[in-house]
Amino acid sequence: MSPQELAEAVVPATRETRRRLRLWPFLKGHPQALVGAVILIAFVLVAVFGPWLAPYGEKEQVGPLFGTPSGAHPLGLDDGGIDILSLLIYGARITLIAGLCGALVAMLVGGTIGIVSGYFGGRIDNLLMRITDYFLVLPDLVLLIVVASIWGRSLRNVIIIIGLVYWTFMARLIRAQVKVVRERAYVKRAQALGASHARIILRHVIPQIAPLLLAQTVLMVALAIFLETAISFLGLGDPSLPSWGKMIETAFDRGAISYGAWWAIAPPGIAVALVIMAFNMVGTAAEDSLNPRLKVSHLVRRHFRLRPLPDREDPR
Amino acid sequence: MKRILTLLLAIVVASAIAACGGGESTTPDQGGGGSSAGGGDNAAPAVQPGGIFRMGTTSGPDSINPFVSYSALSYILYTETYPTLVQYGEDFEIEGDWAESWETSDDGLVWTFTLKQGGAWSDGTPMTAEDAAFTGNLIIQYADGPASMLAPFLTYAQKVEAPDPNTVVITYEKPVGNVLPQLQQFFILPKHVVEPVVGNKGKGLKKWDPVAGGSQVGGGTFFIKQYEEKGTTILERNPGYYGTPANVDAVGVTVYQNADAMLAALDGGQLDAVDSLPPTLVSKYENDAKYQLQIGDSTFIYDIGFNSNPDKPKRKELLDPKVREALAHGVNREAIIDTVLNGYGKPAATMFTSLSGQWLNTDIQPEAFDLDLGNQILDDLGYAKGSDGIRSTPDGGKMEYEVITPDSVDGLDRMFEIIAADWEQLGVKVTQKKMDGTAAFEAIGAPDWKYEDFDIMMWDWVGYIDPDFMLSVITCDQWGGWSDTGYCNPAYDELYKQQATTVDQEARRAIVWEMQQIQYDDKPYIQIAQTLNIAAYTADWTNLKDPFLLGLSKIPWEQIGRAQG
Repeated sequence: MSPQELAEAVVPATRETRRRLRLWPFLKGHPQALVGAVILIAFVLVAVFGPWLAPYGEKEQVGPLFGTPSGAHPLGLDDGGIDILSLLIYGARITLIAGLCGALVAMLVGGTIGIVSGYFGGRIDNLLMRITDYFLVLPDLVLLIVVASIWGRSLRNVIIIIGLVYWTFMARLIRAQVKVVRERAYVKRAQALGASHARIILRHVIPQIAPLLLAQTVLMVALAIFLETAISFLGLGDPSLPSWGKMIETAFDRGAISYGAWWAIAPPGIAVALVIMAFNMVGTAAEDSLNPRLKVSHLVRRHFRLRPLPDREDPR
Repeated sequence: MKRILTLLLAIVVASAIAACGGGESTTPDQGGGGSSAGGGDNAAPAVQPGGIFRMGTTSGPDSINPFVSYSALSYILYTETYPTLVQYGEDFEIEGDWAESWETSDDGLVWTFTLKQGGAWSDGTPMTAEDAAFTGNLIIQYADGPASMLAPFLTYAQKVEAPDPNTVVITYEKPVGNVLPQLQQFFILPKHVVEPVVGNKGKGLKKWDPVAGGSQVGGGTFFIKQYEEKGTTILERNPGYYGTPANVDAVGVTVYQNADAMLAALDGGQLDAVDSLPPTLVSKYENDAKYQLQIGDSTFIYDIGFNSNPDKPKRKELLDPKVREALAHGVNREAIIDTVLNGYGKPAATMFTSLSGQWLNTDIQPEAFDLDLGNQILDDLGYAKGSDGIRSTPDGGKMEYEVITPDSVDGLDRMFEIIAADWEQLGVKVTQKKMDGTAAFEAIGAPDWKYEDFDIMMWDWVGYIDPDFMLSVITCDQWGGWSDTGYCNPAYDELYKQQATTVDQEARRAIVWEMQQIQYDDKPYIQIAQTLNIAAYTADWTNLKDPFLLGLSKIPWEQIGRAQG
């Protein structure tokens, strides 16, 4: 590889990175991401300002058991006579915190292991990947039931469980990408110049994989919220916090379906679906444009276009 | 797990709605299924002969081997398929079942039962007193081993003999106060089936499969034709039954994973009855002419339990009955019954419900819900409130506790929410620690059944009619057994032994009442509320009134059938 080629290999990459991080053009190019972002912002606002928005308290009995939706209670009452709309608003915070923090844990753990494993390779890689494989084949649901029973049921544990279940995907993905980056010429050059591992990882590897990490984390939030809902629905969540999953669980346990109290189950279900969908819209759009595996990279980088052929075959 | 071990599900005493007029007014037609009741308005409704009664439940049997099973439904199946000497009748008065009559020796040690003649096991083998003697001696011999679950029903029994095929003689070591109520759960097994499986030192008993030969060999009203733990169990009429034969040909019991699935089957016409309806759904079924409901007392009581181990190392303030009393004044039983049980419950003050009849100490009333009084008591004890509204004990510890709750008991989450909110106003902060049932019970006994770690728990107990069992659970002997409070009071234990061997029922009642008073004063538990059991069945079935779907008494199957016309 000539010095010229080396320089070429480096320069476009940096440019790419800079372009990737620009938010507005990205949203403009991906209308689905825009829709997702709007939904997300709405839910985040609800979560942040919940206590001021909720018309009633989260444990305040305001009417009969399974009261039907009415003007005062647009989404009706649950099995304890508590306003569902208020519960939904309070629940947004719990569900989002669990989802975001769970995904964050997965990102930190998975990201670290992926980077270390991919960068150093060899025995370390082998060891870490075997651990990852081990966690990968553990059945999620069984793992989380066992952990919840042993550690007890709290929001913190739910977050740890989510991290525990999802870090493996992250580690695998990041490792593969780091392996690619590590072989890049500029990394080799930095090594030749005597840069330390820490410096290379921090200055050259992480900036390269950061967008991918971010996109995956966003997707993972959707998964994490789904898992949090599942955990709560199984009765393994924090019993004192009104997450959406717990709302569904309580309603289910107390016969809402047979009673015909759809309003006790549908709203939290729809809320979960909306948030997951929104995270997915943003996440997949980000992934589309950021994950090099999802495109034929050299074609994109060199901007091949179909050029009009010479007028050889002009019929006129 | 332990509470399921309590065997008894619920007892329905009064029928709330009798859809068919005149159903309760006269003695039911005893002439066997199908014969006309005379057509008068005052007769019990005539029933169509035969038919299959299909029942749904969400708490199914765990096994049909009496040496290993503990679930309520298993015991219901035994009551229907194995002979017992005596049974509870409609008003929970003991009456003869296989035994026609009985007499007691003057010293109360020897009980002689005369059996009804002509009974046969479902495989055709004649039933004799030898079966009873064999089963009794088997249980006595292996009381500390494989037969331990059945041993309580023969406590202090020395031997069971069969001097002739129609006479059973049980000899006791000392006079026992509740022989007949205990024998009501002494299920007699077929000797010719069980004897070959006993094995060395009774090791084969726990592995015994009663349906190994295709169907169970039963001697009750029915025998188990087909058994599926998580599916449908079919009881078929036993042709050799010693009593009045059942009107229905068969009974099917189907186990559902949740109430919604069960009720969908009921609505879809695949079931004739369900054994328990969630209280939130009563209004829906009540107003539907297709169904009849039976709402009656049960022996199910929700409780708050305190660690009462006198040597508990930490948070000793909770050992003080005054503190517990203050907390009891912060339990809003009315709100709990309204919200959690949708009104289908009653406040409880002791471990017994009105079903226990004379044994319930009616002098004891539940503590009034009175936050001011509760605050006053805690103020007087010198536990001042801090700036955050939480009280502190003189040694500086905050009154903040974890409350262990098992996830297997319905309604505890809501109940905890209500109690926690009120206790917070008393300056006591509690957080819920919800655990798997087995883990919760272990956490209560931790470490290693020394009862040192836990502070407060919430659970329930399901008792029998006879008070013996419920009184026993807070004796010192029950550490590591049934105890869920670590309570140990030698004076109480002494009374417990005394009541077990007091034959005079009035004297025994006085002791039982005193024990309830001790329990109320020391407050290892704050009893919260008893539930009402709600059963639903379709309107075309008749004579299901009164004892129906019980754990303890036999169901009067000879009267039950689809209404005629």
